[in-house]
Amino acid sequence: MTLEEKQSREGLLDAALSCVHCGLCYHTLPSLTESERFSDTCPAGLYFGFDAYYSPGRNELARAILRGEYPLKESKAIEEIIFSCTTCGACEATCRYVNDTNVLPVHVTEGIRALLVEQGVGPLPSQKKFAESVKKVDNPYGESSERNMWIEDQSRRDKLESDVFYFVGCTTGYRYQDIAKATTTVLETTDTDYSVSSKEICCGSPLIRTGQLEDVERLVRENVKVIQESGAKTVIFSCAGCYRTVVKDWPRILGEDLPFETIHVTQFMAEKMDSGELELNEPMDMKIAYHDPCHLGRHMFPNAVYDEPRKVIDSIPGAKRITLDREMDATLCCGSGGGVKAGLPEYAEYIAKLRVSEARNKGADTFVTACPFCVRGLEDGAKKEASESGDKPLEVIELTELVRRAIGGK
Amino acid sequence: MEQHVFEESKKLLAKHEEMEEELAAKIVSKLSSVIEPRYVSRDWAIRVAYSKDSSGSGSHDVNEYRIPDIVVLPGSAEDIVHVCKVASEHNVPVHVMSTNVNTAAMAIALFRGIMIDLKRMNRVLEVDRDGLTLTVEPFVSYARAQAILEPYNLRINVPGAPGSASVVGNNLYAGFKFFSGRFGYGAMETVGLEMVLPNGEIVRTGSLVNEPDLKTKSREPGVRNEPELDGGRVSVQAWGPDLTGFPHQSVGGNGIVTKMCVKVYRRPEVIKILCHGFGSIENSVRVVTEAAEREIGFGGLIGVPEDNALAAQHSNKDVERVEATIKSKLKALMTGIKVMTKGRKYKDRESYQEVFKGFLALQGIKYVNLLFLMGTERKVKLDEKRFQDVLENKELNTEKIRDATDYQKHFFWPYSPDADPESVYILMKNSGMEDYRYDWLIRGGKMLEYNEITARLMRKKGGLLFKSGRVAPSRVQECIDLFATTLEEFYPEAVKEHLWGLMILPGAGPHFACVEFVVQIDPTSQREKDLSSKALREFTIRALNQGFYFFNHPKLEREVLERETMPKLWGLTKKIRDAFGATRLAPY
Repeated sequence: MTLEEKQSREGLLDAALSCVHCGLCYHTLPSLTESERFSDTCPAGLYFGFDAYYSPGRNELARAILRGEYPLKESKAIEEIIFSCTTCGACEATCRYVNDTNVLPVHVTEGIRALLVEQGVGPLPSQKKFAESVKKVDNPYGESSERNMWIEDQSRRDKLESDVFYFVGCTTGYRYQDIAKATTTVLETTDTDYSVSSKEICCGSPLIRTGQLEDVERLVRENVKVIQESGAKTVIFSCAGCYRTVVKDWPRILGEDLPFETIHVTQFMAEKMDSGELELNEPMDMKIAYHDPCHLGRHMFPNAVYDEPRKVIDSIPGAKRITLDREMDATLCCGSGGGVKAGLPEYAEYIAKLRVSEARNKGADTFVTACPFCVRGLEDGAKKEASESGDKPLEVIELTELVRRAIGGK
Repeated sequence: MEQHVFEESKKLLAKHEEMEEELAAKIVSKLSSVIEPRYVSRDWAIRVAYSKDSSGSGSHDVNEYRIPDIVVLPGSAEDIVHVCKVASEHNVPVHVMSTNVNTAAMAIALFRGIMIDLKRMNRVLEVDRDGLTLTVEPFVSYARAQAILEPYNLRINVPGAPGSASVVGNNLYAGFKFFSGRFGYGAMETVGLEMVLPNGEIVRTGSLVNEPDLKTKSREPGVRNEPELDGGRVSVQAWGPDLTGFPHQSVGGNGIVTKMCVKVYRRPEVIKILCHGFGSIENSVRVVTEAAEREIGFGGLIGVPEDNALAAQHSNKDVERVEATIKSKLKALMTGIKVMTKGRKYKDRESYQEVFKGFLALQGIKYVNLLFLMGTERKVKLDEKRFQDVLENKELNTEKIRDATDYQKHFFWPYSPDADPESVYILMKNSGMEDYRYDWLIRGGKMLEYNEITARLMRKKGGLLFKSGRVAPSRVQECIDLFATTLEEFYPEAVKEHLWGLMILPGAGPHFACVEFVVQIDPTSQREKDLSSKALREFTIRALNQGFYFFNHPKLEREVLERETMPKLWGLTKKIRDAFGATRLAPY
C-alpha cells in the first residue's frame, strides 16, 4: 500500500468500521499470558481509562473524524487520544489471534494522525520538533554533527563495496553510541565486511509514527540511494524502529521491493552462533528478562523476531533467562513507541515502570531488549520503579552490549 | 399505570437532544468534585467512543449514532452514588457499560445523559475455594475470571459471548452459558451482589450482605493484586428475603451492580467438544436434548443451506465461479464456525468457508452440531454411546462424527486460517487450559463473524434480521414450525427465494432451549424489508402468546409489550423502582 493509499479515507474507514467491539483486545489472550495479574496490554487504555483510548473506542473516534461528525476544533482531548497510542500493536495482535480481520488499529491510528496533522490538529508539541529537526538536519534530535563519527575504525565510514551496510539510526548514532559500538564489535568478531555511512539520514520512523509525512518520501529515497551507492547487498540494523520502517514502510513508499536484503542484528547474531562464528564464552551470573520491542515483534508479523534474541541470551554461560508474564505477541509496550516518549513523557514513564515491575516481580535482575528506544524507556521506568520501591534500579541493557560483554569485550 | 411505563419510555426515546452546555458544565463540575477530574469528560472525542457496541449499530437506527452527553469513570460504588445523586438532581438519564460486548445496543446511551463506564472497576476480589464462589467487579471478563480460577482447579460457567464479556454484565442479563443445562443461567448463579440504587443508596444482597473489607486492593492503573481467599460465602437466599434478582435484566435501570459474587465449580474430569453432522433437525434435536436432560452438555446447531452443494460442485474447479455462485445464491449465513480447509487455496476466508459448507451439503449434512460435554469420564462415555446409537440408527454416517481434536485438524480451526492449527493446539494443551481456551476461541470467532456479517450488511442499510428466544427443549420443533409457517404466511419469498438459516441451541438451562432464526432480506427492496419486518413482528407476538420467550429488537419488543404480553412484570418493576426513586433512570 502506498502512503497515499494508507491515508485514503475509504481504506481507513473500512478498517475502523470492521471493529465489532468484541472487546477481546482490552486484555491479552489467556493463552498468551502466564498470569491474570498481567493481562493488560493496551498502555493508553489502562492509563487513561476511557474507551476512546482503547482500540474499539478509537475506531469509533476514527469513524467520527473520517465522516466529519463533529468539528475537530471543538475537542480538546482529540490530540491526546490519537497521539497517546504507542502504536504497539498489542490490540492488533490479539485481534489477529481470534479472527483474520480487517481491523488494523495501528494502520488506523497512523492514518488518522496523518489526516489530523494535515488539518492542523496535532501532533503533540514535542513531536512537532521531530519534523522540524528532520527538515533542518535530517535527524529528529536536531543534531548537526557529522554522522557516525563514533566509529573507531574510520576506514569503515563510507567504505564502498562492503558486504554489509550497517544502518545505525539516529537514536543509536546520536544517543546510544555504546549500542552502535557493540554492534560493530559483533560484526568485527564475526569477520564481517561492513560499512557505515556519513550520509545516512533519518529512516522516517518518527515522522510516520506521528503522522508527519511531508518529508518521509525524500528521506526514504535518499537513504536508498546512499545504500545503493555503497554497493552493499545487505543492510543490518541494531534499531528495531529503523528495521520495521525499512522492511515494512519503505517498500510501500517506494512502490516496489527493496533493492537490498535486510537483517536485524539479533537475527545476525543467532545465525553466526549457529555457524560457530560467534561464541559467547564469558560467564555471566544474571537473571535476565527479555523485553520484545514492538517493532521487532508484532509489527513484523508474520515474521516476528522472537526466537533469535532468546537464543542469543540462552547461549550466555551462567545467564538464566526468566520468562515474563507478557511476552512476544502479548508484550506490554515499554511505553515509548509512536512518539509517546517525547509527547507524553509522564505516561510513557508510568507504563515503563509497570513493565519493569513485571520483570522485578519475576525475579529478574537485568532487563534486556533489542531496541535503543526501549532501552531509553525502560531505563526511565527502572529509575521510577526503584524510587518507589526503594530497591536498586533494575539494570537495563541492550542485547548487543550484553553480547559484547559475553564475548569478552567490556 | 402499566401503560404509562411504555408511554414514558417512548417519549424518552424520542427525546434525545444534546444536553445544553450550561447544564453539562454544571454536572461535570459537580461530578468532578468527588471523582478525579481526569475521569469525567464532556469532550466529544471521548464520548463518541461510546456510540457503538457489538450490535453492529450505534442505536436502533443504523444511520444514527447516539452518544452520551457526559462520560464518567467511577472508581468505587461511592463514586457511583455521587453520579446517581447528581443525575437525579438534574433529572438526567444514566447509562452503564463495562465491556460493551452487547449485541442489542443496550450499552448505548439511547437517551443521552451520563454514561458510567465501569472500566476502572476491574478487580477480582475474592475466590472462595470452600464456598465455591468468585467475587468480582464489573470490568472483569470471563477470560480473566477463568485465569484467576485455574490455579485452584475451579471453573466458571462461561457464556456464548467472547471471553471478553463481563461476568457481572452477562449474569445480569440472564447469562446463557455453555453448561447452563447443569448449573442454570446467570441469574441462578448469582450468589449475591452490591448495587447502587438510583436514589444513591448502596444495597448488598445474598452472600455479600456481610461484606468483608474488599477495598484494600490497588486501583492504580495496570496494577492488580492477587484475590483474597476463602471469605466464607454462603449460597443465595440463605438468609431470608433477597433482592439479588432486582437488578437482573434491568440493564442498569434498577440499580448499578458494583460487585458480584457468583458460583464457580470444581473442574470436571472431562470437558469435550464433539462435532456432529446431521441430515435432519429431528435427529440433531434428539441428540442435544439428550445432552441437556442428562445435564452433561450443551449443543449448538447450525444450519447448512442445501444450495451450498451447488457451490461445492465447483469447488475444485473454479474458485471465481464458486464465489459468484455464493454471492448470488447463498446469502443465508452460517454463524458460529470458522473453517479452515487443508489446501488454503481459496482467495479469502469467506470463499473457502462457503466452499466448506458446500462440502458438508454434498455429503448430505444439513446441520452441524457442536456439542459441549462435561462430567465424569464414565458419564460422558456412556452418553457418547447413546449418541452413537442415535446416529447409527438414522441416515448418518458415523464417520461424520469427530472428536473436536480430530475434527479441527481436518476441517476447521477457530483461529486465524494463517495459524498452524497443530502447533496452536499443542500450545493450548500444554498450557493446561485447553478446554477453556478452545471454547473461548470458538466463542470469539463466533461473535466476531456474526457481528462482522451483521455490521457489513447493516452498513448497506439492511440485510439480516435476527430473531432469538427461549423455549422449552421439548418444544423446539414446535417453535421452528411456528416460525416456518409464520414466515410462509407473511413473507413467502423468504422460504421460496431466499434462504433462511437457523441456529438452535437446545439444552441451555434447565428450563429452556435457545432458538435463533436468521432471515436474509434484500436490503435494496423496501417491500422485502416491510414484509420480513411484519413477519418477524407477528412471529414474536405468536411466540410469546404460545409461551415462547422471544426478545430481540427493542422496537419490536416494545410493540409486543404494548400488547400486554408482559406489562404485569414491568408494572411491578415500576412500583419497586418508584419505591427506590428509580424513575429518573433510563427505563430499561
